[in-house]
Amino acid sequence: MKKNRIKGENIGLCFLLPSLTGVCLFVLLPFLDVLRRSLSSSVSEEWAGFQNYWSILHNSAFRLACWNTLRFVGVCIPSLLAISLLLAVFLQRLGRLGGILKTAFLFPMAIPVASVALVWRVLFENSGLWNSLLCRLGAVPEDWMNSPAAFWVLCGSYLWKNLGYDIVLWMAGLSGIPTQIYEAAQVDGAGEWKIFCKITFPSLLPSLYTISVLSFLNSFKVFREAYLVAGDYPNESMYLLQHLFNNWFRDLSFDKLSAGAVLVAAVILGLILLLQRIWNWEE
Amino acid sequence: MRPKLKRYGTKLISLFLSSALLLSAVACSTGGDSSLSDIPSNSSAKGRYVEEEFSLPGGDGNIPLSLDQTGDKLRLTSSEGIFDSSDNGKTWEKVAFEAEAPETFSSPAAWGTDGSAVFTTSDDSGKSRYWLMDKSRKKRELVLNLPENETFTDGVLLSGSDDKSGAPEDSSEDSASSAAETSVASGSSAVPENSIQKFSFLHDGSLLGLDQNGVLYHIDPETGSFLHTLEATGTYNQYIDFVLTTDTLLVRSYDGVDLFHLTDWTLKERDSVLEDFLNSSRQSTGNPEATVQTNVSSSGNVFLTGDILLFSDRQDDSIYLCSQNGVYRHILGGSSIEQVINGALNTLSDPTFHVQKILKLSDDSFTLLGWNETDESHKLLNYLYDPNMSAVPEKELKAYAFSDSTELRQAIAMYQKANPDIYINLELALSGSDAMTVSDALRTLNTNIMAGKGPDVIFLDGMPVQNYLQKGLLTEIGDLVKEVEDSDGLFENILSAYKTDEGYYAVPTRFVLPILDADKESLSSVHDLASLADAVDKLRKEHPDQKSVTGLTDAASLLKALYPANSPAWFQTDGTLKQDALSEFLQQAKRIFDTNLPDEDGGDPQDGLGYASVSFGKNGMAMGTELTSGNSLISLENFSSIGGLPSLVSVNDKMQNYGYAPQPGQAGNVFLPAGVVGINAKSSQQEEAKTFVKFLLSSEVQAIDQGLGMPVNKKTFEQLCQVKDSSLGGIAVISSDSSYSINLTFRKPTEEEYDALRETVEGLEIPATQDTIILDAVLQSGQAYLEGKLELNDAVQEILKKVALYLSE
Repeated sequence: MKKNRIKGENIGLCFLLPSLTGVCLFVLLPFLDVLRRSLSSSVSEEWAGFQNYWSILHNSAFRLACWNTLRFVGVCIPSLLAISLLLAVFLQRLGRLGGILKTAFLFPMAIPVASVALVWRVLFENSGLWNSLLCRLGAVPEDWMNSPAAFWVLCGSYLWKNLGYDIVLWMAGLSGIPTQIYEAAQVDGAGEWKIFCKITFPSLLPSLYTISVLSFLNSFKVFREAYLVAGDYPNESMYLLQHLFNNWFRDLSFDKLSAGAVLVAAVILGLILLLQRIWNWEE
Repeated sequence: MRPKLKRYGTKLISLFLSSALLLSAVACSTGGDSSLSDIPSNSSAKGRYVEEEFSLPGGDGNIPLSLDQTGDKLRLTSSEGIFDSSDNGKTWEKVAFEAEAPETFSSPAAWGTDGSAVFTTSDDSGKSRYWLMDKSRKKRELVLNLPENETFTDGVLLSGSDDKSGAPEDSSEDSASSAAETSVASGSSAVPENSIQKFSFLHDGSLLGLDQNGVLYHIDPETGSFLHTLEATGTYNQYIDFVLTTDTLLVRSYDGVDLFHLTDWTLKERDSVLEDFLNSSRQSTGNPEATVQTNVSSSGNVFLTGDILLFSDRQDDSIYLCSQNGVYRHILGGSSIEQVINGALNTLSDPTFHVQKILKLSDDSFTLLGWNETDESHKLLNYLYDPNMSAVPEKELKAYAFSDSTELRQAIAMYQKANPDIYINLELALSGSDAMTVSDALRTLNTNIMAGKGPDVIFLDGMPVQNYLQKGLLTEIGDLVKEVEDSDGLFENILSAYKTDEGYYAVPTRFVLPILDADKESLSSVHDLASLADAVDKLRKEHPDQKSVTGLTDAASLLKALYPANSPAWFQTDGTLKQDALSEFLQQAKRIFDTNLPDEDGGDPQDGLGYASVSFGKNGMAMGTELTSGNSLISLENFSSIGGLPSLVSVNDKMQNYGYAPQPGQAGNVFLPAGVVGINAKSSQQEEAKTFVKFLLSSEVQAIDQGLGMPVNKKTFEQLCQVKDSSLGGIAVISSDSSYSINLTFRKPTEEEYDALRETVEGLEIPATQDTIILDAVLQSGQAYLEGKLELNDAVQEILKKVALYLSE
């Protein structure tokens, strides 16, 4: 019996080995190298201790980028989760039509980044479509990309692009809820809101963790459009961590870049572990 | 039994899938770098063509006109006569011609393999006459009935007097300091007569001739009649050159190469491999017109870069192609083109060397006649295959630059000639044919550096030099700087642009001087940016009809012109920008910009008096063209070549009472470092890299004067100040409405003028800021302010915010 168990484990390990090797080679080892670089100087790689960490924590550009990134995540992730969940519930009710509309929501994800950047320019430039519309309506046009409004353009782009993805994930979760429970609740006289709070949402909690993590990871991809439209130095309000890291890479500041990356990885890891702990506790 | 089978089956499938996964990971490989050739530098492959220079016969004044093969001899036709060589050009013997042979001829002759020839002469009326000379030297006239010249339709291109209202009066011809000037006669309509530009003998003794209309004639030498007439179809309807192999006639047009059977003169299918090669070569130069091939008949002609010469030894149906990249061989109808001689290892890659004629000889060597722009001389080069020489030089030095330049290419060609065991592999980041930006190029460079694959020598123009200095990326090269300083002398003030307390890590090999060219009254009143704006205002009031005082009608151009002389004054000691200084700069720039008159019809204010200008002679740095055309009253220019001083002083003479001075601005005595070079500290070839950098500072390389900048080598600076009268050029300018034209021949500057230049150079102190991030920020917001789209305070704040982010990183 024990022999069979060990044998089973060995077979399992064999299946796991190629993927594990890949992860070690292409993820873990490079991360260890980043950790090493965060403790040494940029080109000469002399030992610097925690000097790099100290330096970036006192760097105003890093602090600004952190604040903007946190603000972006804090605004966009809850908004995305809430809007996509509501839409998913709504589309679920529509049946077949909901399936077709779900596909329509996925289109923004298929649009290439360069095309999205072009749409941004056409819409939000000083002489763009949006300002033309505002002028016709008698409002004062704004230089969207060179003002604090750029942050909201960024948020809007993120929501527009990722809504469909989250809707699909929510709908997958919704389809796993037995309809008998809903019928039973309706028979017992429960209203829509009560059904949502007592049945739908609790049943979707397993999906919430996955969708949150995926949405959080997708939030980093918004940098691509921001970079294509506004370059290395956008308006302050949309200056994210990736902008800073990108510029540090260009400037050969690998020491600061590595220290920043380690700090960000630590924060993300902490966040994910916290989410997992909350989920496990709720279970 | 079945469960057992199922278990084994599962195991087998698992094993298969794992193996497939492992194999796919192992099979992945990166695409190799194709640098020099497919042979890696440390390969033991042997054999390559080695270049040797031979002396041309005759004296210094002898002008080679053409190089041909007659039988097994080389024949050089030159202004001093005809010379033959039996040893591939090493030694020459003058060939005595009978008196009945024509003594002079006005275009290259064609020689037959038996010593017969065809010559062209011009009679007193300018009409071309053709002469056939047989192998016994008897000549007779060959009368050809060519059609009219259809390449000219409206007479001469230049017409009208050079008087223009508002233009300064012509200077007196008696004045010793005035530039020679000729006006062009108007109204003449002398259309040159059609004539044969190129002849060639066929194996049967008949002739091929290409006329000025681009039509090719197969000529009966006995009667002069046209046996066949070949005309091009396509966009331009013109043939521009032809080559003969044993069985095929290749005729080149702007659309490609037509092939004809020599047996029946029918058109063959085009050779797609050859066409693709020619097209890709044209595209790689970025010059869509780089297909022109001209026959050089006198002292040289400027070929467009990327041009490819076609030639054949007529031994078989193969064709050879010669370009700056080397010599290639292709068998017509074949599927490949192989490189025979690598241009990167010899003079072929020198952009100032122009191949006039190249021949493949019977011993498989190549002999080449060319023109060298730098020393204005003809060269005879021979390429002989050495089976013992390594196929590629053993040592490879990697050099990296953002953009190409003639100086760089020429320096590399010269260095490789002097050091045949070292190959310099130049990587250019911004080719212009892709969407690569400066930031992208820097990231790629940094990736390579950190991976240990970085270049050995880095040309730092356009790069964040200070950043590299702070990061310790570059090697200290004070020792080689001292060596050159001791031998030739260097401008210490220029060289110190990037000097640190620890020494020299990056040195500019050249420098540019921003100048103001204006009337002397304005020059004397201008000492900073505000007084420059005052002077421009004053000129505007004195010339209310002048469209633009500065000639800079575009906001971005004006800001770029003013940036170097002002930007150094914007920085505080902590590296941040001074708001007041920036604000002052934009205000004064706006004052200057506002003096431009808008177009009355609401059209583009940039539409000033258009003009075409052509430089002639050696001088390619025609300065002050805007002044001569009347497009501006003052000129903000970059003085980047000592060879430009003749043009500058000549234009100032023409404008009367004009002079030049370093451009005034918020900072004084500013210069632009150029050709900045450094050695990668991580390079494993430090010594070789140092020899190359030292070579770049040597007088030989610094003498290349093509506009990148003036030399930092003092010895070379003095040598370039000794300009030869024969190398003075000129400019011809004509306005877009043909109402105004001028031919201006440059004069030699006086010793006082050279002294003034020396004094100015010695007094330069401050290197201009070349940070592209700051420049872009200033251009973006500054342009909006100048065009009235943004308030001053908003523009300044925008710039400060953008730059603050950059500086705080």
